[in-house]
Amino acid sequence: MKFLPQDQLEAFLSHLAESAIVVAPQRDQDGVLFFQPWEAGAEVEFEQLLTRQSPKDYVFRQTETYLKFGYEMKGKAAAEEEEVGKKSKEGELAAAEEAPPEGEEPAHEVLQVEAVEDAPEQVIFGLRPCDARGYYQMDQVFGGYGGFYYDPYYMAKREATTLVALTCAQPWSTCFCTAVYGSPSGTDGVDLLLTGIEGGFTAEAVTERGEMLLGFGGFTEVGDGQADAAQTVKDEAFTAIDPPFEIEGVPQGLRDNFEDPAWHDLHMRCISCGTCTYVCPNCYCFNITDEMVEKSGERVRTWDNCFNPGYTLETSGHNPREQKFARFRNRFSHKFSYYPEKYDSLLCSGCGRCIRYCPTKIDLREVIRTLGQPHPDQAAPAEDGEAAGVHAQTGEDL
Amino acid sequence: MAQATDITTGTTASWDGEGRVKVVGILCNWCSYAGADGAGTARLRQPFDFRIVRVPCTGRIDPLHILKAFEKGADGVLVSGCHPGDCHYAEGNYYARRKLELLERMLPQLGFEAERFKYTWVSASEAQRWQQVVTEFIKGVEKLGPREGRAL
Amino acid sequence: MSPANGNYEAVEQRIRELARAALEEGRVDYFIGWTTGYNESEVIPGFVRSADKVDDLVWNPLAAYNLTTFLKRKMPDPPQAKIGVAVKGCDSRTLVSLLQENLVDRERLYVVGVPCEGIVNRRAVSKVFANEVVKIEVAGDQINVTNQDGETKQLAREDYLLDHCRSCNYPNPRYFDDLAGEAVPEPEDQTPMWREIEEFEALPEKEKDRLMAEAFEKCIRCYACINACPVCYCWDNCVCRSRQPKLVGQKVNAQENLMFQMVHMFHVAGRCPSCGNCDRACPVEIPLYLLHRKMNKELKEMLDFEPGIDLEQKPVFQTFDVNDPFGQH
Repeated sequence: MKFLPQDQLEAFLSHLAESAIVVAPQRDQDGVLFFQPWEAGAEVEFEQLLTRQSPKDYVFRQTETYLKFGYEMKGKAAAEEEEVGKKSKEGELAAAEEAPPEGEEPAHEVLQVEAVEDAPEQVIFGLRPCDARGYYQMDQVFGGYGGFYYDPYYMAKREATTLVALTCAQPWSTCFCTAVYGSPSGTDGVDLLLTGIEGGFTAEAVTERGEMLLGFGGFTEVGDGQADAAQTVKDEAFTAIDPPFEIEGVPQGLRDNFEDPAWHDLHMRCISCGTCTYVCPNCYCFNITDEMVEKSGERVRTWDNCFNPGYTLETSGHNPREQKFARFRNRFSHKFSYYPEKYDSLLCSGCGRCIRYCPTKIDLREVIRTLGQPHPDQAAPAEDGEAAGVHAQTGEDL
Repeated sequence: MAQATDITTGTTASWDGEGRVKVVGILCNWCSYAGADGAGTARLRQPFDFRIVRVPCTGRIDPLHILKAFEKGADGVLVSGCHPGDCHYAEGNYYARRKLELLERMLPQLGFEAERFKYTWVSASEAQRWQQVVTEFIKGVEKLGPREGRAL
Repeated sequence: MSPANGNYEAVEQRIRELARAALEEGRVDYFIGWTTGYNESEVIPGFVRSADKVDDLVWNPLAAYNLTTFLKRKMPDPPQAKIGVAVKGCDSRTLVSLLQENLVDRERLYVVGVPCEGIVNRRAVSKVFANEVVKIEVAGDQINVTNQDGETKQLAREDYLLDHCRSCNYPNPRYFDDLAGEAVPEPEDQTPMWREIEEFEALPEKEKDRLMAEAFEKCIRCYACINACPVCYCWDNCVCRSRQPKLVGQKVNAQENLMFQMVHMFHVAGRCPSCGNCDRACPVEIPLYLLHRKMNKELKEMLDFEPGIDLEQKPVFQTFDVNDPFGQH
């Protein structure tokens, strides 16, 4: 463990910025806190606990261009051909029918594809352990965990990214990381963990990459009592969070309560937007489209979310999750039930952004408390189609 | 370099390169498109930096079509239809008038200069008027030049 | 806006009584009012299905949410539910807009009007502390804000009202079945004021362009604004998500985001009384409200029209007047 005096912070950031893009929480023109690329002299804000969005965008981009494509004319007098084509359609046809002179290829279009490489060396500085845990969980999805798909686009950026996390000194009332196996000083995914104490930060390397950062000359050895002070900050933060639910049994509870009528109560104030998923450090759903004008364009991956009507829309026109409550149920079930069945953790790191920034403040904790455990007053499972029958009408126009 | 007669001065001015500005015209089939056609038939000089989209009626035009044209790189959009009262479908341009007027008033709020959008009425027999309208409009856009680094 | 009478408790009691009666008599399946969120600084939409739960409902100057959003097509669950809803002055105007177009079934609706004396701008208030605000309390002309350390700051209510409350001309609901409490005095001169947009209007075009780009660069296209909007009702069939025709691209950048917002703006033109629900729903604080205010200002000048005032009036873009005072050229 080392110590970084407060007055060395800027020097440390500048040191990091020499070899990488430094991304740190900064306020925008409206006073909203976001992770933004840092430039020397910019004010970094560590006092406010959470940024509006998690920094996942820097690794799992909201708009990621995979490749650019277009067509080029090749072969016999391509330029002339184009000229004829412009004049009239018949002209083009006539030109195409002409036999090409020997040894020359007939005019044809060739697909041109250009890969886009976008994985700069970067340091995400001052993110919270819950944000870092988000990467840890996305790493499982995109990193080939358990023999599943390995995503080169995500992983290239992830491997070029160093995470310098900051212990949360004062959790908010919406924080619940301790309920989901996390901690305000958790180290999942973190390379270097800073803890704010009087006069500066203690720094603990978690990985080799973090160890390398400690080579910066501004660090001093931890002084008397500094390690203890850091431990006190961590302990106090940990105990400040009262776990709102017991996680054991939640994955199975959600499975069991799939048809529970309580879903119909809880989803009522959901407006089916995607805010919760886009501020979340864990949500990783995406969509791939070709954005093109005529024949050239880009293949892009953009964030998608389970509240989007197109998310489950099938080519036939059928949408298995046409109703809002089903989309709502999917979000929570995915995080706490389907994901844990496939991977080795939960898809929630307890930052509470989805509660705080939801337009109607839907409380994930309340949903899990209500439906994550076998329901005490749960009636016998509804007769086939009974409960479902009523709501199956929701899809109809009013 | 394209050449065209500047009708206001009577001189042959050079339009500074095709595509220096891109102007989209959205014209109704029954009046303004026929008017523009008439101007062509009468060999009235018109600027070339102009791409016409023919629609059945100005009532068909959604303000979003115009914004989409701007988004895709148009430097100006000119909408023209039948004179109020002369609509082929009796009342389409009355509806259009309200929508287009609101758009015209909103565009400056989005950072567009007023000269980049105009809606007007040109009948099938007004070839002369068409020439004047389109030339003046494009000169206004030319003066502002291409839209660069724009929000929309 | 006049200083508050602080008559919130009496109105709150009345809302509860009316909701209880409606639920007990079976006139509604559920009642939508406001309730307290995860802490005492948040007031959120509350759904009450049984009479013994009506005491969850609250009324205070944090009750910003426009509940008519939940009457939109495809929102009610079950779809044929009879719904009771509480509306403030501005909320009732969106309800009138919906009723004008027959988008809600009046037969299945029970409307409790709530006279409103102005809603606190929670977003602005919560910024007075760097850490978490846990309680916001309005006492007379003063707002007491408490943070998680227990520190309290006192703010002048006048400075922290929502913009549209400061210039509100219709604090009493325009349409309701029962009014909870006494109507509050309305300003005698109901000429709209536009002071919040005048500064922006005066900027040169280049500057507006820059500010727009800056604001919409932030947009994350979560669609909270359109889904929170009570009069934006296309639900799953919004053209901004359509591929064919493709009006708005999938890429998230300032240009596409602004184009998307224009889809919203022109769709609600003439029906949006600028209740500000979109603005408050935005997780990244894009001042959408100002765009809609500007639109309403232009409509007022063009057609002397204010949305959601008269139930019998046709929405302005679904009708015309041959003598419209513009577009003669």
